[in-house]
Amino acid sequence: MQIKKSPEVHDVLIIGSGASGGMAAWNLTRKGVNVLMVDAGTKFNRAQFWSHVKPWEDRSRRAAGMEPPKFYIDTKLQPYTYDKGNPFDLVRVWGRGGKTNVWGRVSLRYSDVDFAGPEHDGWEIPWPIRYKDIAPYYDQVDQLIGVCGGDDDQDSLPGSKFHLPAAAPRCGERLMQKAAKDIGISLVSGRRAVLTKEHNGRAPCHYCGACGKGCDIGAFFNSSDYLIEPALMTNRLRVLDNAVVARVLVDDKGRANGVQYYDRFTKEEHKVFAKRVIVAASCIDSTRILLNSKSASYPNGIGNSSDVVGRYLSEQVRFHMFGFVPELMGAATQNDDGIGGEHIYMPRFNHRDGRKRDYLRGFGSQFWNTGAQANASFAKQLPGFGLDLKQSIKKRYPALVALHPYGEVLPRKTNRVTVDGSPLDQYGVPIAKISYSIGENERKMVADMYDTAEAILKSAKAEIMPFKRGSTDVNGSAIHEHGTCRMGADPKLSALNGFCQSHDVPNLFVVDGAAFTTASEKNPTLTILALAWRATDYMAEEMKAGRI
Amino acid sequence: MNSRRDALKALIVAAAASQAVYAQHEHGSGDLVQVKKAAKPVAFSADELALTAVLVDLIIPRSETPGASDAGVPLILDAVAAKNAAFKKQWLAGLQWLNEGRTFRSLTQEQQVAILTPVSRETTSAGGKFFKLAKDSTIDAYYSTREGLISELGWHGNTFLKEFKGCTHPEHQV
Repeated sequence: MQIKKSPEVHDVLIIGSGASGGMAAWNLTRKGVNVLMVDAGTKFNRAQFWSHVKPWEDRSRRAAGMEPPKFYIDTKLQPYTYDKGNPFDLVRVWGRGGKTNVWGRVSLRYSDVDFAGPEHDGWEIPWPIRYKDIAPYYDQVDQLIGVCGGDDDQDSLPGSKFHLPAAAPRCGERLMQKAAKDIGISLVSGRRAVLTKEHNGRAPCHYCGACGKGCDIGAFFNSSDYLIEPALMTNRLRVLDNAVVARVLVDDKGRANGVQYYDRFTKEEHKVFAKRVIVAASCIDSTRILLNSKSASYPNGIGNSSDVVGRYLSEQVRFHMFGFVPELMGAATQNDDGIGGEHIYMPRFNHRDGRKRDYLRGFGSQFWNTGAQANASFAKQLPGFGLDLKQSIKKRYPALVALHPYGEVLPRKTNRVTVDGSPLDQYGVPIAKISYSIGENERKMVADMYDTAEAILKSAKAEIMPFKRGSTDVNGSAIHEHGTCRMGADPKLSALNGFCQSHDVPNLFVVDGAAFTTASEKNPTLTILALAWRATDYMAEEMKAGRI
Repeated sequence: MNSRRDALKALIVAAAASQAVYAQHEHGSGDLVQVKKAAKPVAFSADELALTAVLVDLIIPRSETPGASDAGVPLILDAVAAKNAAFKKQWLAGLQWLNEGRTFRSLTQEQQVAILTPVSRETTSAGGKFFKLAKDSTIDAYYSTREGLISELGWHGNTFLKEFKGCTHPEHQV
């Protein structure tokens, strides 16, 4: 088949349109740079979201052959693989905005407890940046996208002068705050990228609670509406839809000069060219692209002379614990939708004086599903059947509280993504193979996480739903993949410098979660946005100086 | 492609479903028994549907609020079975287990409860596994209907609010 080549050479080519790709496109175009964005899908149409489709309407619509937008890529169509008996759940959205269309919206700043963690305990390489380097970018991101939250900062959770009003806690969340406080744990207001008031001309949240189906008015940050649309308005951004990137191309001097991609549907092969390339396809797919980009200059994959690309995959361990608080048993049902997901957050506290632990790093907790839900799935765990069961469900329905602790997984050389010897996908490109397991450190941390969650529920005098101590969700479930193209000061031990620039290939940048040195226990998107902004500020300066 | 038959099947499912929804809108939950008679099952026989109704009502019975079959759960499960062959197989095998050496439907409610009680306490035997499936499916289906969510639980979410006040009870404040 003839390969189609586009003669135009773009200033910058960005692979991917999620948080990091969108930020890169937005920041560069406003600085006058011409950008080509290559994206594996198309724009999702907000008018077609099922945000306000009630559960029974959902059923009748599906019965009539209708379907909501398909955010998630079918793994049968686009597979990945993992070691036998050691599954890894990889969630991917191919389409404009990527996972930000349906993300959890938790927006937490990393602190120096996170950035200085490796230096402090000696596990793996240090981050090349500190909070002071990224703080101005967090401020800018908060103002740009709108993050609600309180001013209840902690050493592990730096604050913001720019928070929108915090979402008022639900009854169950108030009771959790009270219960935690009684045992010396402080639960802060949730920090979420949801507009609790009009912001930059965008309509505020209307508290329908159906964010997971996509927001029909764009009242929470998504890359497509908040970053890519404004970038398109500059006339300096072009988006190639349905273009599945296989490899980064290099010139004879070893510089990145474009990408090879396949049309998602016709499978036709194309090449497009650019003076600089930004990889932002989300951690695993970015890594796969880099590793598949083998050439005479880069036999081990582009930017991988260090052999760290693909290694140190760090996700987070998590589990769920549920209970029913006595104050709300049999209470009148309230509308607990709010901004969807929790309005409170438990920042990391295990590093503080007087707290002993036998493992490295830490954990925090989320509280989604607290209060009345549009289902009663918890009822499956209740005993019996008949009228007793029905009454028991009704009594507990308003009283549901939920804890979802997330713990950091240490970066390990052997937790890795590879492509060598992998089966080929529908385009003939090797798929990602994920080899990943947690270790003793995580098991000890998980034990502490269980003790903490249980202690909070006990302090609330809650009836605790049965749980299996020590068990965790399938790896990958947090959907927070990091570390496979980590930044660091030493080019022998890291792939990128602190500005997400490849040590080996100066005109190649990797700006998504792959660039993180460690995972921390926090949701990464806010930090991804801040790092991508910082990286593209630096990139624009380097372009101006003629160095790249 | 078997498209004609599939299309026909889909139409029947759609018709049954939309009929049920309309009926609920117009008549409220009380008249659903009539709808049940009017709408025909797709995956289940009439007998299987009737036995399903008895079973789901034993799990979530009618009280001051509608029970599982008032809420149309049997036809919801029929629609699930029409789309999911594995579920259909398990469900029909389960119904057979109910009828093993007896006609479950013709037993008294006391006898029926006596049969279900031991299997509701374990999930290892064939009966225990089926009861778990029946209970979980009934809960999923019932609490996703207007009857289950609104009439029974008082859910009034997924709507437009100008303001979210959260907890206003002084006794719950930190």
